[in-house]
Amino acid sequence: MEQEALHDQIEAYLAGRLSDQERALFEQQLADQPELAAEVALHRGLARLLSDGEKLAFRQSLAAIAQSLPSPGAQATWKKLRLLGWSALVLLILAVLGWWQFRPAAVVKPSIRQAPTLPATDTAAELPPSLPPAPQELPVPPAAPVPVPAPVKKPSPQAFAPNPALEAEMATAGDPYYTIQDTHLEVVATGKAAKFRLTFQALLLTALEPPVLVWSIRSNKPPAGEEKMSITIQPELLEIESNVRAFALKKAYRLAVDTVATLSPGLYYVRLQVPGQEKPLWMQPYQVVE
Amino acid sequence: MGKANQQYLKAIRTGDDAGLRSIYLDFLPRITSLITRNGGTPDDAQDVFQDALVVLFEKCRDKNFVLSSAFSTLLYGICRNLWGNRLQKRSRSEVTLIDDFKYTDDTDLVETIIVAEKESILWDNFRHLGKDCQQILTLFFGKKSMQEIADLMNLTSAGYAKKRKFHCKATLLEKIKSDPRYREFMS
Repeated sequence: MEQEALHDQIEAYLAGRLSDQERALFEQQLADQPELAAEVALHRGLARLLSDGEKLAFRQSLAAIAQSLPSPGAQATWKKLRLLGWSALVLLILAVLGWWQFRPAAVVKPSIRQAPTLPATDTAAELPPSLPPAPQELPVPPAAPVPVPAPVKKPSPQAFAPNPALEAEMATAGDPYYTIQDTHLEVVATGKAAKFRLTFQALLLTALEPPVLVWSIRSNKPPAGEEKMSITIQPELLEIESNVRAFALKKAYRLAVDTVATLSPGLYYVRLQVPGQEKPLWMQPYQVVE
Repeated sequence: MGKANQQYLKAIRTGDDAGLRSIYLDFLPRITSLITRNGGTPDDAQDVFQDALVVLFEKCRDKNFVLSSAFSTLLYGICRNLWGNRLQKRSRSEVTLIDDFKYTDDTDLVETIIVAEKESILWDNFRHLGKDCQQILTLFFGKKSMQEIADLMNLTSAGYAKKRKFHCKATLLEKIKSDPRYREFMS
């Protein structure tokens, strides 16, 4: 009932049905109570959306068209299945060709006629004249042309070699005022050549005002690595009970990155740091493989 | 500006079904490619595409709106902007989209895009309400009186119509408030 009365009051306010005195009082409440202001904003947004018949009809048309089109998800699945089918076919053909090329001798030359057993002798001159000429080997059918697969470009060993400068930097990582913990880095291939989706999550514990952090990836290229990507992260205060208590205690902040990067196979160093500070807060190597 | 561009705009302005379909068929694949190359799914692409068309619908109602670039460029720019905003909210960090398309950001559109994003959250929750609730709320916000609503919907009285309206609206508000996108927007 209380909620219904509140709805009535908000609707009357938005429709301009309150008296001057009631409106002034209500606006004072809005200024004092952010939750009420958010509620009124939501009612206003709803009123704007649902009172606009033209736009509502347009949205309904779009929804109907989108529903009538084949679902993009289904299209993607079908494409994947088709790709999988073609891959299986190509593998099968390669397997057959491979077997043909390297089949065992007994199987490879079944058409060679067995030579008659001859007395141990070296020269044809010693053969008895009545002996039929030695059978000639039947021609071996030429091997079917085997398509030469494109050479797979293997990453050089240097691509995975540790970088001494970055390893040394990693050893210095850490800061007494800012603790990084529960780090989780996930690198998933997107299916596009060399494109990877990178998700990183961690907790920052600090009793200070949290700084904006820079999350970056460096390759192992000597001498000091090469920066591949750099993203600014705004720490987000976690709403957990321990964060509400004493102000002097460390509070927990969530750090999150979700991005896509182009990376070739090799060793990379992922680093978190406060802009302007040389020492990283946290650093970890990561190997990207095919 | 080319004839095709004007036809696309006309389809949006009039809500012409065949015209809107041709916009989907001509441009959705490219937008799907943009979104999926940047961490989204084909379903995300369809949502973004739909919201971009609503932004264009809003712009078309503005009498001063003049198409200053190709329709495709504008549509692509809006989709890119919408997806960039969503990615940024998800990751809470600056996002750089991988892109192979030259476009110009239209600053006039930014405000319309933000409004469309908010409305999209409300709309998605509204269309998942029961048909009765959708109807009663549409009639209520369409300025029908409770008595008219009761008559149109064969409800026993204006008082009962008011009760139903309250319950439908409360349900909708609850759904919206528990929608993670709404919470992201409010934070």
